[in-house]
Amino acid sequence: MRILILVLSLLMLPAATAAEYAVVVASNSTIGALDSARLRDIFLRHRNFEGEVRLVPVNLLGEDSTRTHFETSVLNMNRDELNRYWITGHFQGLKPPATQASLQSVKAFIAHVEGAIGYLPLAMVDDSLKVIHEF
Amino acid sequence: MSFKTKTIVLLILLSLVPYVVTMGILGSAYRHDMESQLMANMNYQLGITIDRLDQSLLTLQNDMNFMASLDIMNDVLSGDIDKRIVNVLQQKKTDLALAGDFAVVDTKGTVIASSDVNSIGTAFTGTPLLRVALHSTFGDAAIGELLVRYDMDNLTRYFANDEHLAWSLLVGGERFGAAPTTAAALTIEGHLHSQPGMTVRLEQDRSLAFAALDKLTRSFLFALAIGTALIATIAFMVANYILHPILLLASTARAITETQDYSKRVQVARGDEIGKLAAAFNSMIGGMQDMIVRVKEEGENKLKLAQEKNRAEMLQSLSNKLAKYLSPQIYQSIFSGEKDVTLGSSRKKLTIFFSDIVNFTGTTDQMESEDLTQLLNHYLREMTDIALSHGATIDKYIGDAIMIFFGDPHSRGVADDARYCVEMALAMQRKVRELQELWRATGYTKPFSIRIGIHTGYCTVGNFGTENRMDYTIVGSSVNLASRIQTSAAPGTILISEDTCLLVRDRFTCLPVASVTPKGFIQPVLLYQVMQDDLSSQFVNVEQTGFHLQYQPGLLTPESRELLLQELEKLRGGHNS
Repeated sequence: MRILILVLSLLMLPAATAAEYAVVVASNSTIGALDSARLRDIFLRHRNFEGEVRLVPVNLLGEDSTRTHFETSVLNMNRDELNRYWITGHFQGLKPPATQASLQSVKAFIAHVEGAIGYLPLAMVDDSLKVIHEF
Repeated sequence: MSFKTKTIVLLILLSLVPYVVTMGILGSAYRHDMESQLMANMNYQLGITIDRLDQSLLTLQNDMNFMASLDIMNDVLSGDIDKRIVNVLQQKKTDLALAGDFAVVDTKGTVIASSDVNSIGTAFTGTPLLRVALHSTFGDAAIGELLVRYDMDNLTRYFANDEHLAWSLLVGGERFGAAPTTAAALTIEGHLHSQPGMTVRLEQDRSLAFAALDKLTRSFLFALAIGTALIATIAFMVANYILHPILLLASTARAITETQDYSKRVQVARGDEIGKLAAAFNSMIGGMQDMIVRVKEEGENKLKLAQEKNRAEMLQSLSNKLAKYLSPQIYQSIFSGEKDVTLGSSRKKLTIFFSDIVNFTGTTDQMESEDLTQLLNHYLREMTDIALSHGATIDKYIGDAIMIFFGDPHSRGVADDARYCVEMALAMQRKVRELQELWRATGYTKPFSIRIGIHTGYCTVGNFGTENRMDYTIVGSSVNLASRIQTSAAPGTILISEDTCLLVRDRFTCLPVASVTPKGFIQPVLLYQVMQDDLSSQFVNVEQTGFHLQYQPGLLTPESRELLLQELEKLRGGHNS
């Protein structure tokens, strides 16, 4: 049921509102387009490799709207759920993704670190980045 | 070197050597001990300092490790756009009051973040004090380094502030802290445990370290100098105390030797060995003084004795010569001291003897003087021998006459004196008869005969003359009488006076021959002829020109005696006719 709702939601989103944010990697990355489920696995550290590439997810620090939107839109988890998840995960050996304090630093991080994957407003995407998912 | 100097030197040596040796050993031990203590102290201080440095560096390292472990170090990958690392570094620098700067460099050495914002974006220069590798939270690969740039001089604040100690930190050939000391110094080093490349060196100048000891040494030397002076003074006084009496002894001995004054004494009023020596010296000098006096007296006595001996020998020699001119009795009497050689006389009863050679002048006229001298001397020698053998005193020789007396200086009694005199006269007549035979055999055609007269009476006997020339002789009428009796005697006979005859007739045969009144005498004197030898062998031998009468009265019988008297009467009658 939940999946159905999600699919319906996804189908409805483009029609409802145009996408404003994008999940990006470095433009020279071999990583191609990924769906939300794959992104969710990556950002919840269920999946660390994409092909031969070691994945380095990066979050924005704090209560930034971009992050909130990413969490609700892509991860489908609010902050309390995430907190509980990572507390549990801490004891299972899971560490949350690295963080950057600003969108600029996220952009720079993705551009410099191989396998880095993050999210930015579409407006900030340039040639150095490659969009693999929009939301 | 005098004994005094030797004594002083010896006393000083005896006093100082143990002192110096002891002080030297103590000083050396103290110096060694002090050096050990200094080294121990330095080691202790070095250990503390190294520990503090290690502690400090370890704290810094821990802080850096902590910083390196922060998630924000992932910002290195994004160039620290948000300055989060810079903020942390600056905050830590402030917290630690670090005299330096932290810096985060990427793998290319470019400074991504630093507490010194000016250096961001540039290549890191210099040698970092500490460095920590940075790893991302998501991968193993190093993403850079956290470095700390530190001014090493600041580390010297951990060094104890001690003017004697020179601390320095040696890092990679560079030296921080105190300048190297040029003087001989005690040096120790230690490596930091956390940073083996960092060496802390601690130096201490010996001159400063041992300043106290040097001061002590100077004090010791000063005390030694004072002690030496004091000991020298005491040694001088002790030497004087010991030697003064000895020098006094020496000077006294020298003075005694030079002046020969043995009355000198040493005045040392001490009861010790030197006092005893002085007393013994005085005693010895006293003994020598006594001995010298004694020797001197003995010498004088010996000289006196020698002189007296010489004098005695001279006198002996003289008296021996004189003896020839004196009768032995007189000689003995004089030289034995019984009689002094002084003018003086005594009256004694003596027996006086006279003899002479019959017709000496007539005989000697026909003889050569040499023969006469020989003959006379021979005769006198023989007579003298007889006289002396009978104890006679030969008064004098008067030409051919001999004057002898008995009874002085030695008398055997008047009777014995007379007897010895008569015996002597008999012996003389016998000897003359022997001599007559001898002389006749020798060629003297008219040998001597002698006549003898003897009288016993009082005479004055003694030294007559002057003080310068005196004669020991007898004088008196008895002497004259004896002489007269002698002239009355027939040749070869012995006439004696009655006085003598009375003394000797019990021994000798005395015949009364005549009564004469000698010239100068008033009373006639009865004369006796002593019969010579025994009666049986007695000869009467009368020889004159024209006759030679010889008979033996002892053998005369009354008839022959009568015949002889008749013949003589005939001769008398014929002569008278």
